[in-house]
Amino acid sequence: MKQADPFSFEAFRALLADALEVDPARITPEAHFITDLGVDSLRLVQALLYLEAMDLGSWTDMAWQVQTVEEAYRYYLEHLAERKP
Amino acid sequence: MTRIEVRDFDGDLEALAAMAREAWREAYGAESWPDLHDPSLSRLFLADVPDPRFLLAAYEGSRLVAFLANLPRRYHFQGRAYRGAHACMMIARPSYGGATVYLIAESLRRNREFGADFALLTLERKHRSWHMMKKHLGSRHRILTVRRIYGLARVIDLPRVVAAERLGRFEVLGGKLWGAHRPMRGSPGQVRRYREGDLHHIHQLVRGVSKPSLLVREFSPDSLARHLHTEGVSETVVYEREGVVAGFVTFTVRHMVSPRDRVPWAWVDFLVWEGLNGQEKQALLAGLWEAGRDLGCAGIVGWNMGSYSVGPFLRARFVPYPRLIDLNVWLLNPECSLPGVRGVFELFI
Repeated sequence: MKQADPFSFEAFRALLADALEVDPARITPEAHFITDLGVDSLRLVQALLYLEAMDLGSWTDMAWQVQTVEEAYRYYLEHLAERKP
Repeated sequence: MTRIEVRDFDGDLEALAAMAREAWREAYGAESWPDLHDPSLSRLFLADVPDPRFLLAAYEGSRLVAFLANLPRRYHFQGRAYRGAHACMMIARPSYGGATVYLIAESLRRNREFGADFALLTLERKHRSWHMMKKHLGSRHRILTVRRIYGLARVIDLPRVVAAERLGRFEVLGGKLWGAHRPMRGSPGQVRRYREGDLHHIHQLVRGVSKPSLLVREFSPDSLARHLHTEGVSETVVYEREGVVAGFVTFTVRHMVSPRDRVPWAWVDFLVWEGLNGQEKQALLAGLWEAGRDLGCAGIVGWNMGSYSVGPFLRARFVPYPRLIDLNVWLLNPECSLPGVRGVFELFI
């Protein structure tokens, strides 16, 4: 079976906006989840668990490695590459 | 862009207190809040920490934005020894609440390194951190609620409490009808303040605390001595029988802060009185009341962690305090389950 194509940055951004309950227009690559987007603990955990549910690794490993939108997307692509046979 | 970095706390207790006060003021506005990060309290509670890895902080540049103490403890439960961590004093600067997630993740990693079987944490019900833990993390991790804790309060100085807490007419009337404002009288000669020579007896009492449903912390004599008496911060009242300490209660002086006032209260931290009869327990509580009064406290607050019965408190005109806190245990070791655990001796809030 053909593996699904990875999410484009635009699609990933839309997913994050949904998980973080933030206006998609504010989800720029350099936006910091806490200092720019004002994400609190509850929404940040929601978002990290959302990414975990996409099989992107453990939220505890991701927590402070992925502080910006760009880092989250890079982390996603790296994990996807690691998972490919 | 400045990143938020998680690292060992730099030990600046004044900066920690300032950040916590800013956060509490923002959260509580005109209501009173407990100054739980006052440097004098932090010095006492964090004195046992053997290694800086157990105090975690998030910094934006050099500015402290969040803090979490993850204190290593040894416990026993149903005859078995455990390594635990007490996760406490978590606080974040306003708008930096997300940084606490970084600290929790890092504390889990460090607890794995340390080999902790579990972590204990208290969460105020319906607070955002409670939702985060119970609703979200609780769905993926083994987080058990050990018990629902409620406070018990006893007035020492009614006019001061009324002014500081802005109690309404009916609250004051209800308290008076219950008798919560009446002075308590002790039994001179049997109830007295702690003296250094009591440490051995008290350590024996603490080592003897045992119930099948109770997770019991083990204390070193040094640590216990600090908790029993630190000038101006913690105090202990003992009940003496035939020259031996037969029961004791320890409290810390903590301030409730509002825009109007900064009022000291006596917070009961731990209590052992299994060997006392009902009258002796009443005498010990009266001694607690008098010690609190002597230290200028407006009242007494106790949190029922399940290690003692609350009946004597109610008979001494303590009233339930309308704040609910969940005592949780986050099981980290897959082989650890703590079946039937219903309380903890001892845990400070």
